[in-house]
Amino acid sequence: MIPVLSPERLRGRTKLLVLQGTPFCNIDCTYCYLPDRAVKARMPVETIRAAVRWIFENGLGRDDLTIIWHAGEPLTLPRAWYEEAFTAARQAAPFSWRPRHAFQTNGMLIDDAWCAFFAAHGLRVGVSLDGPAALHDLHRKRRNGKGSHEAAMHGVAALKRNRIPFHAICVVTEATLARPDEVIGFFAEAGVTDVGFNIEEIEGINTGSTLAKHGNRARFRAFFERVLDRAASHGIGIREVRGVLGAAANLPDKEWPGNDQNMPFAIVTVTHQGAIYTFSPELAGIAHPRLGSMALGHVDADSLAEIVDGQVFQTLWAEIASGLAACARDCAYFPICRGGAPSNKLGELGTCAGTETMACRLGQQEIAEAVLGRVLNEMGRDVVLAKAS
Amino acid sequence: MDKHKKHLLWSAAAFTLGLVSMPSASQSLSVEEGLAIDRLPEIRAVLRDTLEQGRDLIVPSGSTKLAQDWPNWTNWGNG
Repeated sequence: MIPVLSPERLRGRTKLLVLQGTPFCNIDCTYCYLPDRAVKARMPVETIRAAVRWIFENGLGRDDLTIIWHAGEPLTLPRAWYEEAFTAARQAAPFSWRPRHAFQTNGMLIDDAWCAFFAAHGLRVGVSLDGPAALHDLHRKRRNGKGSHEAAMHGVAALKRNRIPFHAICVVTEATLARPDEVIGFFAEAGVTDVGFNIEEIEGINTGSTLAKHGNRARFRAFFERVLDRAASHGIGIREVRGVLGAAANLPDKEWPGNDQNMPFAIVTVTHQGAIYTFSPELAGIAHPRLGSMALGHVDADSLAEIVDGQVFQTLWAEIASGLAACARDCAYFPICRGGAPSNKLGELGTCAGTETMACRLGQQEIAEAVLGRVLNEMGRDVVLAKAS
Repeated sequence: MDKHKKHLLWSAAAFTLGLVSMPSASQSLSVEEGLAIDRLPEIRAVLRDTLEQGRDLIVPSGSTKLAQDWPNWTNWGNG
């Protein structure tokens, strides 16, 4: 056993609990990593209660823990189910927990009733939008092959009409790279003020990426530089800018040197069946040819101590920590990305013990260069600082 | 325990116990001259000084109020 990972050292480490209310998704994106998205199952309310209780009784939970409903389209479940789910979570958590629930949704089912529900519960909403229809519909398809953009925009209109704050996540594929102006123009016109860019990753059952081609690194850099220029002119905040600046301002913590995806139990994912996972949420539900299932245990059956001592966790953590050590040793960008994502390493390199991936090169290194380059430019002009309002 | 697993466990322990240190950018063999990451210590000093003085950085497309209130964006996965 690795001595620093006693349950006591993990106390209060879980920031994010991903609950898979359902694996089902009402669309069938070409780049989706979820293996069971056609399965219409739902998490029993008792499992929700057990999952939240497991987090807190094992000392992982903290008062600002966020529960995100994801890994399937959350809005395919009825609002009445969420009313029960939120009550169950509240009852299972200590009184000091400040309930924070979030939905990551494709937006297609959002209407005024859902908006009233979001407002009533103070929910945080993220909508997956890949830009204008010509880009979005290339990959975000219904099961009949038709695009989902029009329906998603009806949802966005409802959010705007009801003044529900939300952000957008935009998956960048090869087709996106030639259209930064259209992408930012689309978000500006739609009234989206905060956007995060996820590159199309190789992970889980998605074994390829349109970005994995020679020359796309430079094209991605040009795309992102242009995105920053255009976003600034429209007053759109870009998640990656905040991420790079936050990481750049602080040295990695020697006690906890990695990021939320490679340090144990920072993120915990519980599937609709109650199986527990940690590290990258995309590892949930994968049957890897070498590692098999990466389920660590079950919320009804296994304590944190048993899980940490178990074979699955020990094997996975040994690989991930080895990869972290190699990243820290070999990569200049480690202070920014803090060791990459196990799901990307496993998907691209076949092992979590590896280091650089395409996801690193595009999603970390080129983004860091673009953002830090702008800071240097501002420093050079000596106008970088301003009084806070 | 096989040799590969022993190596992994040693690396993990060495890392968590601080026996493997973080590289400085200038030590990295993979970094070419002129990269912004090479000037990270200088950038960090400015950022920290700014934060300590309670000032904001002017960086295009930086944080917005919504982003500051939202620490857990799903920055994983495709969509």
